[in-house]
Amino acid sequence: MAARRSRIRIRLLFWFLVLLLVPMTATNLVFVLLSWNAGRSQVWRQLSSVASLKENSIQTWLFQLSHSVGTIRAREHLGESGVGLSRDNLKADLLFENLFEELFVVDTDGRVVVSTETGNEGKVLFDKEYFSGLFTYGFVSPPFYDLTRQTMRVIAAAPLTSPSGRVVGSLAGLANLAVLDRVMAERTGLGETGETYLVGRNGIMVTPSGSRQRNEVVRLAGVSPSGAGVLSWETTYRDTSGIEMVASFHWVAPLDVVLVAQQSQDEALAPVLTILSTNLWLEALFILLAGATSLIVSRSLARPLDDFAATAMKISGGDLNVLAREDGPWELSQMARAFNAMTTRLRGSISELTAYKENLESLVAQRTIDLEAALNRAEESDRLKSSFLATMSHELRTPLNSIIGFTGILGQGLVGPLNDEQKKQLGFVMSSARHLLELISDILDISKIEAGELKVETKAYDFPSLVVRTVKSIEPLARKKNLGLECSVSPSVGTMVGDQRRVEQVLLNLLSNAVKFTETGGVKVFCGFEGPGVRVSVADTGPGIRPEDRDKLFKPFQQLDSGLNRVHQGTGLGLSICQRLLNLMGGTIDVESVPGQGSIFSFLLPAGTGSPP
Amino acid sequence: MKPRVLIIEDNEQNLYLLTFLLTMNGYAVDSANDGRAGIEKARTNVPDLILLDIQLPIMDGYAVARAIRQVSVLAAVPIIAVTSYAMPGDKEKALESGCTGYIEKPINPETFLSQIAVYFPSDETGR
Repeated sequence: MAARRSRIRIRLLFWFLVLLLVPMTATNLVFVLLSWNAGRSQVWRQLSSVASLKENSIQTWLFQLSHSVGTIRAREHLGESGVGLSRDNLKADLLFENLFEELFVVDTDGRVVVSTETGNEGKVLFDKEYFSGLFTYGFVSPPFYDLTRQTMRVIAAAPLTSPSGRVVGSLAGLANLAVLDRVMAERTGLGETGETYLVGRNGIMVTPSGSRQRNEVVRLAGVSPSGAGVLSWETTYRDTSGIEMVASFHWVAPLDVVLVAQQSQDEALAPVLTILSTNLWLEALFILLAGATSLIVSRSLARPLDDFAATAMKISGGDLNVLAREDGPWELSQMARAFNAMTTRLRGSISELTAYKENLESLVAQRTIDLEAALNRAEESDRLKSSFLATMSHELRTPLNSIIGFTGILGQGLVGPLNDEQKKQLGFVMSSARHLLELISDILDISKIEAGELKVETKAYDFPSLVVRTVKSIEPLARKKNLGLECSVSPSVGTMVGDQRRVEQVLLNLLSNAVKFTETGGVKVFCGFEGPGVRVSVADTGPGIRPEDRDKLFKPFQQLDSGLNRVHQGTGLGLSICQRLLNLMGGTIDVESVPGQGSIFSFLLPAGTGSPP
Repeated sequence: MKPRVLIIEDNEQNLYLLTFLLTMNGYAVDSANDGRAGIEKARTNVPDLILLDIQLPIMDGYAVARAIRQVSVLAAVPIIAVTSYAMPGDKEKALESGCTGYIEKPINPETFLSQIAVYFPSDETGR
């Protein structure tokens, strides 16, 4: 949750800063570029004007040089070939004009005819290319290296003509570069690092600069102007000591040199840099202020949301008693109101549910108590029923014991001889007593089965001998009624597992029924495998059973009205008990019958088992 | 010497029936109406066989059988439970308590004698 909570703040902060930073930075960038360029142009203009002033001074000096030579030639009335001009006159002129170091006259062959320096007379100067200008008016040579003096000089000259106008020679003045040096050394308007100097077309320093000697050869970008007609230009370059320079170049045509005015960029643009750095600091300050402001704003915006989220968390954690604050901004307070209403309703619903639940629980508890009481009563009555049955069985048998016992003793004649009528009546007593005993046993059996108290055994026994034994026990009865009695057991049927006594009980019941209800014909017993089990069938030639009576057969106390009503003694429980016993043993009982022809009762015993689990 | 049978039975008619049946068939019969008297009689005059009813006053037949088996001189005497109890487990309960045999009431006078005869030692079966 912490990560999600901070994200809304960070987003606010982020967009706030982006909105502030982007225009500010863009503005600043444009401002920086503009001021930088403006600053540099300013510097160039300044350097250019300094250069122009110095160029003017140079032009003035050059004019003075050529004017001075012209003046000397006029004063001396120099005639053809300069003949007659004495060395002394020239010396006087030299002193008078004081611009030159040496004055001399050359003939058209370039030989020095007369000179203020005696040693130079007779030398030929024509080996220097640019001396061709000596024979034109107002000529000043570019600076050249004077081998004699081992330094740079310039020459100003005026041609000497014959009266016919033919050029016969030239008056020339040799001047050193002290004036140029002085002009170049003037530093007005150049600041700490600025300087001006002259460089020849061939890259030779004409005036010394701060770090370079005169005559030194330099390689400066753009200092050797090859383009004609370019009088001045501006550039920036990195000088040999690695300092970025802002420079203005002026082409001084008469001297064939470049006037360089330069200043280190750092100094030249220092004001701009100051402005820029101030600007940067201000911007950083603004960003800090804006960041702090946006942090505060984003916090104040996010805090109600945070509070709201915390409340929602508490409620989702199960504490329904907290309420969201409703005093935030409009949107939030609307939300909080709706939320609180929701919580209140939820609380109501929950307490309703709880009430329902408690009510249900108490109902269930009450019902459980009732059910337990009912169960106890049922168990109690069941127990009472069982003990009642046991007691009743005992109580009924005890008098029967006396009846049967004494009737037997009397019937055996142990007490004394009986006449025929006495014997007959005693026989009725005996058969009634036995019937009563049968009834009691059957009722007890069916009660035990219904109470689930009757258990069947699972023991191995010899099946054929059981059948034979049972059939034999019924034989006297069949013989008495002149009925045939047949029994056939499939030879493959041998040992079975189950409750021998109960199987015998079932078979005996079916046999005695068959004998009881059959008046003519006979009874047949068949035993054989059916699937894995054994089927035992008892067929008789009795009256048969009507289809509508079949359902009644296996119900307790149902004796069929078959026209011979109540002629046959029986409890009416036999078949019902047989069916229940077979169910307990996992078997079934079936009946087929054709009324008037006979019935076949059969039961199926499962293979090798007695009782189902 | 007649084989001696002790009958412990509280029902007068049944006691009479058994006594009559046995006496008529050459047995010497002694009887008691409750368990305690029966045990005393058996102790003082050791019988050859005891016929024991299960439902008795004061102490029931199971307890009587257990008590008789505690008496050393009576340890080998066969006890036949004669009872009308017919609930499942009654027979097993009787045998567990020390009875030797079990005959269900009502008795059949024609077969009763042969039912008890098997429990006498062979040299005393002659009636």
